[in-house]
Amino acid sequence: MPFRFFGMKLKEASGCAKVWVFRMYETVDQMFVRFGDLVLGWAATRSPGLEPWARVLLCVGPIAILFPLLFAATTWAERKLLARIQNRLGPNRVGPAGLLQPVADGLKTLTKEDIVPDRADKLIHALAPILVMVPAFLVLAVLPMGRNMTAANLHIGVLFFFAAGSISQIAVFMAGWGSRNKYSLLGGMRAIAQMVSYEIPFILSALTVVMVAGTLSTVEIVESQRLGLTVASDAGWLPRAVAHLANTVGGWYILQPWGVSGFLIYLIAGLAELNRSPFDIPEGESEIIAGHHTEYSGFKFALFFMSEYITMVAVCGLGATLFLGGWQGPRPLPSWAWFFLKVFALMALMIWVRGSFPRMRVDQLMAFAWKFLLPLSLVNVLAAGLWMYLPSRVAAWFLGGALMAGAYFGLCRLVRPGKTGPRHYHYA
Amino acid sequence: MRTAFILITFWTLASGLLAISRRNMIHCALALISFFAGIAALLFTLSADFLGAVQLLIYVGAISVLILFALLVTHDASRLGDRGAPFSRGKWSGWMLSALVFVVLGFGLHRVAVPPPPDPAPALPVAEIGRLLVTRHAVPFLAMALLLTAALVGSALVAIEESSEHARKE
Repeated sequence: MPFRFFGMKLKEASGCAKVWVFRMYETVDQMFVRFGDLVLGWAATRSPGLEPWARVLLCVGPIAILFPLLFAATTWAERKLLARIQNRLGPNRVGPAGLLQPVADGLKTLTKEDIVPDRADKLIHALAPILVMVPAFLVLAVLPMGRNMTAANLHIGVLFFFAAGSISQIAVFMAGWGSRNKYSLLGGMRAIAQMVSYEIPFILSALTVVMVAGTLSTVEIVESQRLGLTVASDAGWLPRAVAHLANTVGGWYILQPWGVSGFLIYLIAGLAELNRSPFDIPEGESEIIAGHHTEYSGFKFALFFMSEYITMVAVCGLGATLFLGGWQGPRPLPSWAWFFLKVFALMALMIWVRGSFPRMRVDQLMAFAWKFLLPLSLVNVLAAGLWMYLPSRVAAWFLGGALMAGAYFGLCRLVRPGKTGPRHYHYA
Repeated sequence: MRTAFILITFWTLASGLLAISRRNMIHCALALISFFAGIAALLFTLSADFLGAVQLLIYVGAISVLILFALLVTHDASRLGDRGAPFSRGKWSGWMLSALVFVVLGFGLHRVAVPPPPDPAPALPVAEIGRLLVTRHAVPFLAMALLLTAALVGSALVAIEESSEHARKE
């Protein structure tokens, strides 16, 4: 039966050209995967023992090359954007529009003297910047960066992301303790307290997606955000395009009531996990002179900086995977372009937040995590459960939305700012 | 895989030994964390991914932070660097007791007939583990959660009393 759109029967375009366009798209979309297959095939013909090593190299190599480059680009983009927000020019001396500034910064940090405090715990002080890079790169392994482009397709992907990410707290503590500097220790303790507190709403917001998708695998979560609408094969281009758009965009979890609130909680808790503004009290320059990396100079400092930005990319990547449909997007753009587009959009949002909000106080920070975000994310889990088990989607939409709105306004009313009096701080 | 297993085993054992033999309390705690991470790595090599990730999340991510906080909050931070002799006076009875436990456990394990591993290694999907936890084993699961919460609240109470004493002294 021919598909009718507003009563009109639309003509089909010539099949030959369509097939050609589709093939072109497939080639561009899968070009990295095909290149990898080529390398694997070549390795298999050379010697059978070479293939597993080639596989490992193909998984690790792109991440190890791409993300440090992305880090350089991010620092430039952040400085430019912040400058734009503050009505400045930003870096504009090295290269066109200051584009080579990261290179200059890299050379500077490489050639700087590596200063270790005299009374520092030398081994721990040296190990901390190395250890801080481990979780930053580990978590990238489970992000699906395009169709068939996941370094490690674990069936516990989301859990692995959070588990590996929790190593960074230890590295931050080691940096704070090993420096033998009270500001460093204060910053380290603040960072750990903050990360542990915000990890709970962070994980609970991701839990809603895991509940609804029914899987912990990041690849399957992305696939579960695709709708399965079909149109008749002889339908015209317009209904096809509409169906394609609905299939690739309509299933994103952010379009559901628990998804909106879950995404917002994820983003806020993610900012806190990253120790980024407005949650940057562990590194508050004006209070404790950069916290746990006060005593680091040269390339060790650059490593801390790098891990922070790579983790930022990873958190944005997981946010895009969980709530924004991962690599799914309407057609002319290939899947990997969609993924990185979403990641860049989220990073721009984080930079915008950094340029707009003042830093929080320590007591505000903890109260916000435990009294506001945690109950809100628990209610959000309830809303996701409603979405799963209510028979009518419309009812679930309104009930879930009302539940979240009620929880938000109720909590705003309930959580009064605490009385501030003289406070006695012992360690943090 | 076998090489990785052996390497990780040695790493875990070395961390465990460091954890009980260092004088610096923070070093002990960090060695203990390395030990936890080693156990997680062992679980990963044994392809118990879920357990490995949980071990990493709970022990390396949470318990270790608890230990570090407990160390820094309950001790005088300036004297944490030296806890005196790593072994106390009762070390010989301690060694004897642990040797006895080891012998008993070893004997017990030796007596157990190990069944041959089933040919396709049994894979329990994570979803199945979760389902079992909230259906068949719901009561022990909830009891454990209650126990942990009670322990947390209790430790918080102890810490609060201590800090209020601290404030009074000042």
